[in-house]
This record gives sequence, C-alpha cells and structure tokens, in this order.
Amino acid sequence: MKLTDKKVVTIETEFDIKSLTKSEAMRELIKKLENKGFVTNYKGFMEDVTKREDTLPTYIGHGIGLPHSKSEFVKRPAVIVGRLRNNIIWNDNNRVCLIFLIAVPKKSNGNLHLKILANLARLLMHDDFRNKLLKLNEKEVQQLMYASMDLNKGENTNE
Amino acid sequence: MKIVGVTSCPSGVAHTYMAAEALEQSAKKVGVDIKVETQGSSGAENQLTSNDVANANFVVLTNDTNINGMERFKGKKVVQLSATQIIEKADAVMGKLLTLNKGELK
Repeated sequence: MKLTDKKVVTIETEFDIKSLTKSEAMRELIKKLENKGFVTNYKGFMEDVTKREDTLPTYIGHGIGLPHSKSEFVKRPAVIVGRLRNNIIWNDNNRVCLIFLIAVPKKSNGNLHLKILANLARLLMHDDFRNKLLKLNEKEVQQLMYASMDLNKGENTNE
Repeated sequence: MKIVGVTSCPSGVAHTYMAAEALEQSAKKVGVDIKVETQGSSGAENQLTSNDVANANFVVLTNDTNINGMERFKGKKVVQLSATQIIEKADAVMGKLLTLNKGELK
C-alpha cells in the first residue's frame, strides 16, 4: 500500500518564496494550507508548529527544514513543499532553501504523522531526489512526491 | 560481509530513519548485505532476528539514546556512532568496516 493512495496525504507546493526569515516563510506556507482548506486557523497552527520548532529545530541537513505538527487546527493531512529564493537561517548556523511542512489533524488515526515524517526523512537522504526537488517545476514535484512516498519502503522489496 | 544496525534518536523520528537510510544506501553502493532496525517513536520496525544478528560481521548502533535489546549484541563487534555522524559519514563507516573485515580474513 502506498501512503498516498487515495490521497491520504495531499501534496501542495509553493515555489519562489521570497521571505527572508523562517517565520515569514512558514507563515506563507501555512496561509496557503489555510486557503486550500487543510488548515482551519492559521494562527493556531502556526503556534503549534512554532512550539515544536522552539523545542527542537527540525533542520535535517542539506538545506532542508522539516517542520511538523499534529494539530487541532488541521482538517486534512497535507505536506506542503516550499522552495525559497533565498537561503534563510533556520537555527544556529543552519540555512534552509527547502521546507517540507507536515500538517496532520490531531484526530488522525494511528501514527500517520510519524509515518509521513519517517517516509520523507528517508527520501530526502537521496541526492538524486533532492536534486530533482530543486530543478523540477511545481507540478512535477507534486507528481514525484506522490510517486515516491511509500509506507512500506524497506519492508517490501517487490516494488 | 553482513552488517546489522539499529538506529534511534532523541526526537524519535527523522534522524532515526535518515541514519537507517544512509547505512542502507552506503551498503548498497559497495555490495554489502545490511539490515537496519529502526527504533522510532512508533516502536521498532524491521526488527532484527537472532539469525540476522548471528550472521552479522558487524553491528552498527546509534548512541544518541538507549537502544532497546542491547543484550542481543553480546560478543559481537559493535560500532557506535551518533545518528548525525552516520548520516554524514555512512560511506566512510562502510569503507572502514570493509577494511576491517578484509584484515580479519587474512
């Protein structure tokens, strides 16, 4: 079974983000999720995501931030891929040009939130995958993400 | 050569899987047989069997947090590194283990 079968998780994109700070960039991504109906209250969700960031920043190397929250302000699960025009400071000396923001409803079943995170973390370790994310257009990145996100990676070698 | 590993990290998610993926990727590059158990927030996945461990030449573990089931590796050659070190230097780790393994065969 693929994680994105029947679009359990919708992939959104926002490229060419001009923000110069982490909070601006995150606000832009969350606003889009609100406009598209995934997030019910952008302020509430922003607070939830920021709380997690402040405890332990989600920088994962290679210029990528992976902010996430399982929040009461999320209606449907989504991942929004943000590509920034400028490298922004994420935390300490870590700069980010790609953001994967994971939004999962508080009520969602089981550990969907963790499964998405695990899935993305594994995918983002591959150079060719990261290079594609930087080169492809929004539509192509969406297709790539739908094709690549697989729950059973590592357990099912038939794929 | 066969390697088994167990990865875990304080936040319990991203780095656990990134380290596992890094090890698997590096092993694949040099044709080494590997199985990595992940101990994330959602519990242990891809769990190592006693056979897996018995047949392994080396055991690679993360040392950021406690690994469950350490007793499984008693008497094995164990390498412990942080998840971050593994993520950044998996190729080098794999190279080193290959060299060590060749040395033993001589």
